[in-house]
Amino acid sequence: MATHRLTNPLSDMFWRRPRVLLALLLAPPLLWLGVVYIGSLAALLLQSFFSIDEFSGLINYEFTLKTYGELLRPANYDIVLRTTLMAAAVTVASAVIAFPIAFYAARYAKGRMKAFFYLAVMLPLWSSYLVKVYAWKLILAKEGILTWAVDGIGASAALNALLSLPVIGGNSLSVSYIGTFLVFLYVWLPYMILPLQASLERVPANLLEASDDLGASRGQTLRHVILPLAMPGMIAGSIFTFSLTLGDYIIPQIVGSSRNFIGQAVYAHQGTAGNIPLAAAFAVVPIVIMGVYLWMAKRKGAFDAL
Amino acid sequence: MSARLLMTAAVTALVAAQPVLAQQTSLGKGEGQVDIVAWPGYIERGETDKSFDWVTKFEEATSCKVNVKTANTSDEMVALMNEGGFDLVTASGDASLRLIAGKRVQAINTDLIPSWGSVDDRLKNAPWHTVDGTHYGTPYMWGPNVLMYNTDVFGDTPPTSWNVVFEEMTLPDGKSNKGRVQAYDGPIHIADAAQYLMAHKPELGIKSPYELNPDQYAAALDLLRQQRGLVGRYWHDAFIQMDDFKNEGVVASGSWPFQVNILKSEGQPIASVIPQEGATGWADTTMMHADAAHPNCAYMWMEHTLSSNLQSDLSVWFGAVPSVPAACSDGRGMQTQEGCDANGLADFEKINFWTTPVSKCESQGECVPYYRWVSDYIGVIGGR
Amino acid sequence: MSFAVEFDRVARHFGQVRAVDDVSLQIAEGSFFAMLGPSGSGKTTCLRLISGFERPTAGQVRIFGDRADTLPPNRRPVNTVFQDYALFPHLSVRDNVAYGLMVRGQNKASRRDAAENMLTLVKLDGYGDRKPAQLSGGQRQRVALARALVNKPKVLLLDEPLGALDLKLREAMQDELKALQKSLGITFVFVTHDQGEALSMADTVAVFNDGKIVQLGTPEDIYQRPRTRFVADFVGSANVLPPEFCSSLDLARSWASLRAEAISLTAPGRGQVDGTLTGTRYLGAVNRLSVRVGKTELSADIPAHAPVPAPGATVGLTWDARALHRMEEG
Repeated sequence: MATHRLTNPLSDMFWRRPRVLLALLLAPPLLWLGVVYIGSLAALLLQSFFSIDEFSGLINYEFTLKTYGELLRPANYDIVLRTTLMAAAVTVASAVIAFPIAFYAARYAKGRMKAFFYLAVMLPLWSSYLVKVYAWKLILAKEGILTWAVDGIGASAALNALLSLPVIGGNSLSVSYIGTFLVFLYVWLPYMILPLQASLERVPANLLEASDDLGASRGQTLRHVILPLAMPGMIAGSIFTFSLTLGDYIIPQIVGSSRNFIGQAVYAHQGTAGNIPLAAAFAVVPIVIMGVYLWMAKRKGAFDAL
Repeated sequence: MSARLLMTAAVTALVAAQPVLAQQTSLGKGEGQVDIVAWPGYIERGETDKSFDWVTKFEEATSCKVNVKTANTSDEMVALMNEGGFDLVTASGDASLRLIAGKRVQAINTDLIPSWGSVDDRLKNAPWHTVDGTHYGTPYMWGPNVLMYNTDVFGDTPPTSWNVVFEEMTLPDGKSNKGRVQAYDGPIHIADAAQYLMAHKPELGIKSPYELNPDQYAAALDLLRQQRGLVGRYWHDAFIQMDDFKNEGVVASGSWPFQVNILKSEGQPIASVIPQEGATGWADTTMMHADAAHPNCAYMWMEHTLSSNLQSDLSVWFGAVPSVPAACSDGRGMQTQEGCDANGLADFEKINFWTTPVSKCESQGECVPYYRWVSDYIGVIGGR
Repeated sequence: MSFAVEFDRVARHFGQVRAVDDVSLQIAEGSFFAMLGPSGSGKTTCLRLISGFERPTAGQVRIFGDRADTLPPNRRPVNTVFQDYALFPHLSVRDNVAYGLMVRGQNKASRRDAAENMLTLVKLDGYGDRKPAQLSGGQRQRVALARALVNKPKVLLLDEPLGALDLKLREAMQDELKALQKSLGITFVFVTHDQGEALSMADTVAVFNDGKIVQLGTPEDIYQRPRTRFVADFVGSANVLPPEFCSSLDLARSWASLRAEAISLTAPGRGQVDGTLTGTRYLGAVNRLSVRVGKTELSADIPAHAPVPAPGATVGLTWDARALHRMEEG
């Protein structure tokens, strides 16, 4: 009985004032988030408003927009544009590819098929990212298995035509934008499929019946009911694919034409170059792009079905 | 670059204000361990390949356990040393001066390293570890950036000039070099272009490929823009480059003896040459942390790096040149005189060792600093 | 005569389960037809056979004489009010109502007008810009109704249309639905498990059990003259009397039903039977007495203001001989 009494005051207090317990539980993670996450973001933002002195190469700790102006120089602007276009292309393509897979999994797959689906989608996520990227480098190489397979079916003329395209082509798939695109697409696809599948599963079946009953064809139901209701999942997935592509600096370094993406530029400028302000300004670009993207998605009503 | 300026100021202050930095004068007993920051592959204990081990015997002899933390870039090394908790670092030319400037490393007493005398005379007072006559480390290993090429393609006429990677031309196999050559994916490659221009455009008056005035710099960038048309992918990682020579149809590129040796050992038709224009290169130094917790073991390790099989076997393993010339021929390890010659022993004078370009340069007062190199090289690769 | 809906020996099996088992049925044009039965009796499957969400395993479904079981749902001249309304959450009320017109390619202005008119019909004018989530249950019900009716279906199907509403609202909606059906003249087919709803709204009721129709008739038929024990039991609170009970009254030996409200209390020996009062339940307007007569337990409703004998008392029970309905089968 003695111990019973002793332990009571504290738990009684928590019962009377549940917020105290909540505050105690939340304080450590909030502190962590606040200091480490918000803190580092703020530091990054601050750095981007400094500039590097052209003459001495020293950082000038005075507020200026000059560094952001640097982003508009053709070489830097190219990087931003290149990265954004790649991220957009990867996002659109993964949405197009993920949709039928997710739709099948959400509406038709049952039991073992469903387990197989999860396994098939998740399995690539379990292996190392680097291993996958290196494997793709070998697949796409000039003397790699894809070239061999294309040769085997007698389609090398088509492949060569593809590779001779300006800008996106190259000496081989592995040194072209097409190659970079394919690897991005492969690596981030699961991040599109899973949220899309979750949102498709939440679309009530009777809404599809209602649409059918009201005279809509399959295509109309897809367009007017399924797509709008799957939009939150698609937005969630596209946030993953878009931001992951925006920030990645490994894939374009291993597969592609060595033209820099934003992540690589950040890495290069914050490294031996010591140009932290420009690196910070580059790092702010994806944040701004994502902000604009989410704002546009919201305006378009992408979150209305939430 | 800022580091160099800081360094000059800091070193002046250091030397003036603290002429007697607590430099060790005698060696005591080992402290039981030594913690080293090193490049991957630099400190091997027979775990990757049984025949490459230069740690086990040291540990047995001195009871100093060797703990290695590998770092992939010079910046990582500087960051780790700033963090502290390490005794030694194998710093390259760009990191070494920064570490001295930041007072992260201490001057060493060469008297406590009995084998100091065996160090290559060309390295004893090298500027990347000696400031105003004070030594801040023991030379570890050096090597040239060679021109690697495919012997099937070049046949009886091996390349003698870097022009195969800079100018469009028909290679001995009758096909263009377009899309079949590579270049290093780092701004330091601008120095390779500048070195090429030193030989082919003397009117530019380039004295050092790391010290370029705006005109010289612009000429180097133009050359690199021309090279962009020839290069499919720039190389960044040694293993990716080897793969590109095997699977991508790449036949010539600037490279390290490391890749050359491995590809040769795999039976690939690969050879290398230091072309007539000379080459850039790297030289690393073992430096000691200012607050090293295990100074006795650290000194013992530095002595070990010079006196044991390390110099000989590491130079084989890494395709580099020992800092102790005797290690090439006295049979302490696997290296041979021929091996040292192949890795560039005799080419020391042809090599412009890597240093960080700074705006206040010795040869002509005002030069383009390194941060510009970084952004402009990104631009060149991006097609600008 | 042409029927709105005809089932010709229709069956729908799910594996071993015969959800609909050899059902033949005609629904007259312009009628208000109820399918009544407990859950799992096959009534909803029958509705889905009409709307096209199920295809028959055997037999034919005809709508206005045309064979329908080969047509997909979107090509049938019927529309459905779904059980939980199935309103599109991302569309405004107006767009929900106009949906059927939109997918048929009607232009924006005319479908907007049609939707507004339909909203006026269901007394929801002014609600067009809201989202379904901003409406009450009764309002959603009306939107679902408007969304189906705007397409001018030849048959309107309603799946438990009032199930989710509270009692008061349900009664109001029953009247409205009935009035609406009368004014529009469209055939309404609705599914319910609530016998009160079926009896008060429909002009024809089909009682389902185990995938079959056990009785088809007017509400009065169903209520007054249940054909089987199941119907008597399911539709309202009738006493089901075993054959021996009838024999004891010197009637032909058969099952019979006798409604609780048809029985009056009288002095012992003065009614048709005597029994022992075993319990009383107060139901507001009436007291429901449980009386044991021999082996049979009878319920008798007496007005709430009438005196109630003490439990255990012997009472006499009396009723109009016509109220005792003899059933065709057990």
